[in-house]
Amino acid sequence: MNPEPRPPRLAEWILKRVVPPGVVGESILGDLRESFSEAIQSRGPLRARAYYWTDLLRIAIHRPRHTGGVHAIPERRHNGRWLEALTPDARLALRMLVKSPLLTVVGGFGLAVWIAVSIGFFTFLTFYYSDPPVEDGDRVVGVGDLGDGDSTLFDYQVWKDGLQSIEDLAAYRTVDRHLQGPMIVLGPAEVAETTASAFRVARVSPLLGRPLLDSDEVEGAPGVVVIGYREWHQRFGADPAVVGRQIRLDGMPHTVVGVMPEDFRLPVDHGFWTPLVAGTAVAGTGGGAQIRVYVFGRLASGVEPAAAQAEVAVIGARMVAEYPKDYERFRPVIVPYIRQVLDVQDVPAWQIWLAQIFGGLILIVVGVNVAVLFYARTARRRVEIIVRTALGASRNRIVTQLFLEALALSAVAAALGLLIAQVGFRQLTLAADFQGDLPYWLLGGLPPETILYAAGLAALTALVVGVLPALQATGPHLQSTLREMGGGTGLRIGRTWTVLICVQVAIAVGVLPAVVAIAWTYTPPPTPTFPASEILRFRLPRLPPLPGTADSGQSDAGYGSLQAELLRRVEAIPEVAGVTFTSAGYGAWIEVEGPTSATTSSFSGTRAVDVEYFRVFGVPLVAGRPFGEDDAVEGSTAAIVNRAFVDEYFAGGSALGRRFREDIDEEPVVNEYGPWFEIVGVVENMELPARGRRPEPDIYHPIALGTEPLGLAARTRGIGAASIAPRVREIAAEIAPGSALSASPMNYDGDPTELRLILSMVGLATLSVLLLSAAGISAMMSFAVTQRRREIGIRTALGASRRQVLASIFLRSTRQLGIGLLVGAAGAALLDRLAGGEMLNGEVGPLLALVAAIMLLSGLLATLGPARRALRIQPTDALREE
Amino acid sequence: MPAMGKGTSRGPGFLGEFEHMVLLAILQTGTNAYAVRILGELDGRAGRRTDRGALYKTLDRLEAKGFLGWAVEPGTPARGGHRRRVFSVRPEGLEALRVSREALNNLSEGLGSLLSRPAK
Repeated sequence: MNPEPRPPRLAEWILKRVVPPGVVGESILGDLRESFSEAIQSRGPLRARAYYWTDLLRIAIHRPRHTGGVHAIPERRHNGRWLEALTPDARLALRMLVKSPLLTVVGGFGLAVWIAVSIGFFTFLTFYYSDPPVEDGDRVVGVGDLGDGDSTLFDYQVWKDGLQSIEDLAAYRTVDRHLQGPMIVLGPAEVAETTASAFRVARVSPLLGRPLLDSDEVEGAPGVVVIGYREWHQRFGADPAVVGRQIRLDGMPHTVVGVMPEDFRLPVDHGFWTPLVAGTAVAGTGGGAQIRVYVFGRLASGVEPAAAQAEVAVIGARMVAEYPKDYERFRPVIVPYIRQVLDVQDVPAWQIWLAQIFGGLILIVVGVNVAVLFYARTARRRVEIIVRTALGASRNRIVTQLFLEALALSAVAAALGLLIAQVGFRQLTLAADFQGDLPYWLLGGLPPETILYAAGLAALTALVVGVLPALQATGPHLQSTLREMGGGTGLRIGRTWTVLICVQVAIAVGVLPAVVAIAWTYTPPPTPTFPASEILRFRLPRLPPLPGTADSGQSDAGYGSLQAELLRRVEAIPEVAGVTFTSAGYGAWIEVEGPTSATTSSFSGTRAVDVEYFRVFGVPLVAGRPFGEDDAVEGSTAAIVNRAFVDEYFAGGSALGRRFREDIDEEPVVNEYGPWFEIVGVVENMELPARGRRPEPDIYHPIALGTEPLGLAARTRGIGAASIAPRVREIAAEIAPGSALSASPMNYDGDPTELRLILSMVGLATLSVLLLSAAGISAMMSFAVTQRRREIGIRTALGASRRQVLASIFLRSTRQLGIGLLVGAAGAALLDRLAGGEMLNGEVGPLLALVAAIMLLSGLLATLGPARRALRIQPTDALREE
Repeated sequence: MPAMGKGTSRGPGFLGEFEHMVLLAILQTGTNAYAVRILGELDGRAGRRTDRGALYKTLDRLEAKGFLGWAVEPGTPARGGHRRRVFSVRPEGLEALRVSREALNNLSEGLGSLLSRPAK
């Protein structure tokens, strides 16, 4: 029997503090708990948690004041009075935000950006510790390999046969399929090919029909698919009779056997599940055994993770002994499920915490920066503080006031930071790279805990920003200042603040180059050397018979002739300059015969192409000959390589006539080579790599059109490829009705969402650092000028020229900037060296110089204002103040 | 006609629309009228998805007006063992409901044809 599911602990903890004490509060706690239990049953754990948080918020807003009797009223009144006393201070704090727009905008913006960054770290921390929302989710673990990284189907079989500490072990992999069928929304479908045991691990029953069964995994069993709730609604129009319907996945017939409930998308974010047909898996023999899978399961009752880890270590050692060649680097590990999904199984918790602390530290540095600005403002308000003290305000009262002012700023910044983090998170989940990579229970947005975290950050920042300057400004010297009020000495800019400015410039110079370097690497993505915008890619799915319907599908020969017919008809479109075709690409480890300049065995991209491929794409031949019709036959040994291949293996020399072979086994340690191929031609690289990357070596084999589905392509006569897509679809519909041809222009823009996200975050961070540094320097200089008013006045009276006065001001700011720049540059160079030169992509000099120049320029610009003020000081005025 | 201010129209015996509904929901729930059930009644009978915070606030207000009373009953496992407050409408509450209903009836008099739902 399982214990009652508990509401979110944090929410419950807060609720206990929000509700009134005694039976009233207790009854509210009970009500929410009861509703939570009901919601778990009816709406699932995810929604139940969300409702609980919402109810908590609503109760907090309507906070019940009545506490069940008159006895409690005096205490409430007391609280009310304390609040009343605070209200004018709070109002003043808000007014001060408006009265100091520069501080509010620059300080608020800087804090917001770094609070957002800190929230980002925190969010990852919460993700790192999250469990899947299934019964006893914390008992679900991933079984991984820290050595080679991936597990294979063979590993799964070994674990399944040997592991006692894990019950219901499951394996899955994600495959992309094309969904077709009558009365459904066609299109791509991300399918989890999974063992039936995954459903037993999850302990979630289907909404309709049945889950996958072990019998579905047997080779030759009829194709079945279980669909997700969202897919049921979006693709099948929530058809109540969906179970039993026939659909096609990549043309293969499948029967829908079940629909899973709304809150279930395990393993990651899946909505289609088909059986993983395991067959017989044998170590190191290639084929099905080497299929890469993820293995996960549920810890057996009463077994601790450490015990399971010990057991996998024993079995792992046995595997290494049994298959020393294949399992040389095998390091099996048991990790919480989320770490397998996020692919951080080899990242220890301390690193995550370190990153979190690092994020917090940056925020403190930024906070100190804003504190400088605050201190400068506090110093300007010394008369106000002195008068309030003289009128009887205690030091506590004044510090509270200044703290509230800082809190107002940091609260606004925290709200903005949350917004930035939320928008960033949305963009991240939208980015193509992350789609299907983040588990479904983390996709709902930032976890609610981040709101509290942001509030905590706001309070902490307010302490740093407000209280430190306030304590310094209201310190024991205030009394002496009161006595000297006519003297104009006021507060002093301590050495501390000067050092802080230097430190901050140093950090900016130390960190910014790395940030710029990262952004540099990401932009732009690889660019094609051929006119990609003129290429339309299309594919004709193949239709086998659909059992139980009148649909008899296509025979081998029928499909082959359809594909050829389609190409012929597309080529006849007047706007089309040529058509061609290619197989899907794959990667292969290469062995070159004879001397080679490659130091290690290398991986190359390999694909089979039509003999017209390079001509149609407009890729020039650099050496040798193109493929001829004679090459495109079974057993052909002719191969064409690209320029990068020649550079990699033959140091740019001649490659013609040289031979190589490919490792046909997927394992790098197992060498099972195919036949030798002879290089007959060299073509230009088809892609310019992203900045900071090297071009990829590519190999092309000849292929003829046959009965296999191939990637087809048409090149237009200089117009956008999208414009011919409708015509191509029409032709496909005419010659193969119901075949749902997929056609899309070649997209070479990279992923704009991801790019935009990275650029905007880098931009925001850079801008905030620059603004803060400039504002800090400006505040310091302006303060220094006020302090040195008398000195400057006397120097002017004694005949100092305007140039000399300016020089003395700029000398000071340049000194601070210079020290900061030197320390920062040294730090950045050191960090880069520690990172093996990877941090700055080997461009230390130019990047450091660029950042240093920007910092110096912004610092000097920030000094302009104070310098102008210094020039306006009249000797007579300055001396009269004596 | 100028809008009437809150202070002038709402005396201590006045029932707001939501207060009215909450009192009726308690009566409908019978002897088991605690917050979760009252919310259920409001949702089920009146089709009104209610903000939980607003309900607690209203219950407190009705209690302060003397229209409601409550008794404490022991908790259940589903409530995490927390006790519950079971509400009952006091005679003053019933009287307020009667007055309110009378007022509504008087105002609705002769408007039957306008206010009845048109047949489908």
